[in-house]
Amino acid sequence: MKRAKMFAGLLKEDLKNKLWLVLLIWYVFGMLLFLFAAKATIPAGEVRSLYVGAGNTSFFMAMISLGILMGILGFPYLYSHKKADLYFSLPFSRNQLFLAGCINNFLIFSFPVVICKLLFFKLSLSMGYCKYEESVTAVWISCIVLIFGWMFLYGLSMLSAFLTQSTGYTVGMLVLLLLGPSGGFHLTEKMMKICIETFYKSEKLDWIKGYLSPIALLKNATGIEEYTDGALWNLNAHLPYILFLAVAAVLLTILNGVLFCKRPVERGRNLFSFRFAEWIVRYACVLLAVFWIVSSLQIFTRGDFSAGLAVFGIVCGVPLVHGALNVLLSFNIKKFISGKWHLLMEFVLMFAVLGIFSVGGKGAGKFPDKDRTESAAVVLTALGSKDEADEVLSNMNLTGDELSYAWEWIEKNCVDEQSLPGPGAETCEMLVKCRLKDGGVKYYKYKLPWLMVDEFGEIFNGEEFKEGTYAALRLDSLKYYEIRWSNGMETYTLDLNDEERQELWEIYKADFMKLTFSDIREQTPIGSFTFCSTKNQGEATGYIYPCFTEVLKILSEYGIDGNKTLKDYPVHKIVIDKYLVTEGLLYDVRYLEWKKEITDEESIAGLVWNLCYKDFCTDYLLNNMDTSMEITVYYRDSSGKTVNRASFMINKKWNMD
Amino acid sequence: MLQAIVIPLDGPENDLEKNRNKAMIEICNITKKYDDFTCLEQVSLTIPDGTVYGLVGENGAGKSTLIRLIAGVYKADSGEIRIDGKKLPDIKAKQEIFYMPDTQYYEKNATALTIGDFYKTFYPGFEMEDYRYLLEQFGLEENAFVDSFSKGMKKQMFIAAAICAGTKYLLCDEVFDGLDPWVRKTVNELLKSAVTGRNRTVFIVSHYLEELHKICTEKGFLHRGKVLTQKEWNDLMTKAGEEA
Repeated sequence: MKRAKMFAGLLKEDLKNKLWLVLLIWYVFGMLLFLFAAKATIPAGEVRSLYVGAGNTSFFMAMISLGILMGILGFPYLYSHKKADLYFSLPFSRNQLFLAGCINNFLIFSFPVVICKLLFFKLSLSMGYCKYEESVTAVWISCIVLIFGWMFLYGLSMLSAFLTQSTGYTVGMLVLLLLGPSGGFHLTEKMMKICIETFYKSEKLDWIKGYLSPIALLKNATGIEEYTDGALWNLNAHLPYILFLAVAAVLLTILNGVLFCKRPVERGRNLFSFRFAEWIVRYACVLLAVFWIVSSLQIFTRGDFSAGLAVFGIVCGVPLVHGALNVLLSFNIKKFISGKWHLLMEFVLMFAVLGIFSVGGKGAGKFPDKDRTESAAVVLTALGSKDEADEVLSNMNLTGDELSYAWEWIEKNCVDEQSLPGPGAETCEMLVKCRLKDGGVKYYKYKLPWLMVDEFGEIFNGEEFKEGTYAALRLDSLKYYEIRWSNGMETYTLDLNDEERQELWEIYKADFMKLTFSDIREQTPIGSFTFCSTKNQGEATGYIYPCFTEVLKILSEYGIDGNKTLKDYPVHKIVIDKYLVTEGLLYDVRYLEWKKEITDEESIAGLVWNLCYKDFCTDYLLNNMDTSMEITVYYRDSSGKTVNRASFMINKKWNMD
Repeated sequence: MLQAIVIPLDGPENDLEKNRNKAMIEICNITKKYDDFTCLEQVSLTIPDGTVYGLVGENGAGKSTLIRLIAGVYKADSGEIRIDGKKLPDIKAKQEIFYMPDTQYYEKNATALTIGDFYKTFYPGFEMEDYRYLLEQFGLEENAFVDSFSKGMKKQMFIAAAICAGTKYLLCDEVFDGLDPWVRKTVNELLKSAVTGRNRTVFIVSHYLEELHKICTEKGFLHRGKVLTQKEWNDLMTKAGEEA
């Protein structure tokens, strides 16, 4: 009883030192509530900051900031001799001192966060922004996720504070712990792309990245990057991350408890509390910095792996980074040349890891046998954006005859060395995903000679290929609630109810399924549908080709002339910017060669036939467009009163003269 | 006024002789290093119960390190410290110790009375009435901010708190440092009365040899991380005197 009373006294004394923190946290969350309550309307861009669930950006940012702040400043007596003398001589074990600090900080954060989150929900209900039954679970789970997220960040920050002896080094250590893993994974991916010619992505690496990168883990657990809230927030999709976050938070707390008990109070000459902390920092920094140098040097090879450059990078990079780290870790410039055993170990480590990459890379990019492949997905990136390519790969399942044909086609045009494009040949990117019979998934990226693209038509016209491409648009998803039509010059939002939307999607799908590859090659889109998700966030685009007769018909029923192109608008002026393109090492450099302004009606009338709205030119090779010219067209809209402008591209066949 | 201080007694009167020479703080083969620098090497020391033990040593000898090791602030690299047979960092061992560093930490808005309250929270045997009595005897206003006190006044206040803490052992680091002769005398009397009247054991580390001579019943000598015998110490002092 006496001990419990003493411990309560310790909590009270600790809390007295943290009153400013209590005020700060109530102020932060109170202000969030106040700002929310003061909003009469909800601007589209701010929707996510008003979510009542775990995806609320404001609460997420507050959690991160407070977790870091409280972790670093959680035990202020570690940095003051006078305070340390007082606190560590009190009749408490170090475990009890640690526990008191943690309990107080936990209560200081979690109590206001739960109260304010519930008030936030109450306000949201009264404003009609959400429904109680739909969102109540998401609200409670968001409280739990926020608390675990805070515990995790608090633990990481505290770990940095315990491992170092000054605030500056604590911050540096925290940056390494927070961003180091994601930097490491990014560099690993980069090295794999360099060492494995056909590497596109690895699901295993993505999976590991999702758990072991602190910021990615927090994003995945909360769903901050998704456009869903309340009832749409799917717990099952986030549960593994939340559980991992909880386990990591608890383990970090235990580790910090152990370190707190072991940590020396006295400040030594070393800026780290433990020798092993210095070693971790040293080797982690060497790995990250030298691999960054090695991968950066590979730009001179334009994508291929050069062992010579890699060795050069290590031979030059390791001593440089080693010296810089010596100076940083000892805070003494004279120490630049020291630690010869560490230098030797760093060389060994770097060459060993590089060896693993280059040896492992040789066999990793091999295309699997047909017998091992259960299904596949094939994407020609020229047909859409990179984001869409990933969606298509995950939605497409080529099986049976379509798989056989695609597999043989890839073997013949992409894998066979005789068909590989020569230097300077125009190529396009081909992505392949193979689902193997043993449950594994492999991704490949090939450079396809542009001349072979015509043969892709056979794959393109397959039913499963079309289904996969259509599924990537998720046109029948319930989350879309608004459809916009645009031909580049004009945009209309269609006022459709659920049934009408469903009807439009079915018509679009029917036309899309009839689309052939030669249609795509010969025609450029004349319009597009933009399917917007709920809360006005996130959208997918479906192009409308001239051969989409049924779509054009239904558009005319809505009062929209889908066939209307630039030639049907009164064009006021056309400005042509011609650029001279010089190929650079990293980027192509463009210089303005000449500029021309066309205003006479005859020239305009001749030119508009060759122009295509820039956003509809899915790929410049596919649509045969001249990328060295930028065309700005000034036209009058349907009412004829406003002059608008839009960017266009011009067909290569058009003769300037 | 300073010479007329009378401290109320709460323990068995004058049982100093009874407990004398009963080893209570035992320091066995303690080694403490700061990075590559060895501050204390295989130091062994016994502080008998009921004594005023003074540890003398020049600056950098490792006195403050040793006292912090006994107080449980630092951890030794090797060796062990036992308080009444209980090995540190056992809490039961720490409960018997009150550590008074050279400069004590206090909150900016602390008053002499809130300092007493603070210690009362952590030392159940803290005698608040005695503490207030001592403050009055020292002429320290109990509701005045500690920050407004002079260095000597602060020291007196913390010694008062240390004596009233109810712990068996008082560990004092450079307790005479910065005090004028009159205050030093008062502090001496206070510490003596704590030993004789309250059955406390006082361990003082200092480089004020004269003051330690006046108050200490036992003395130890620390030189470059090692405890010397009286003879070794005398030789060292003689040699130092000749060189000077």
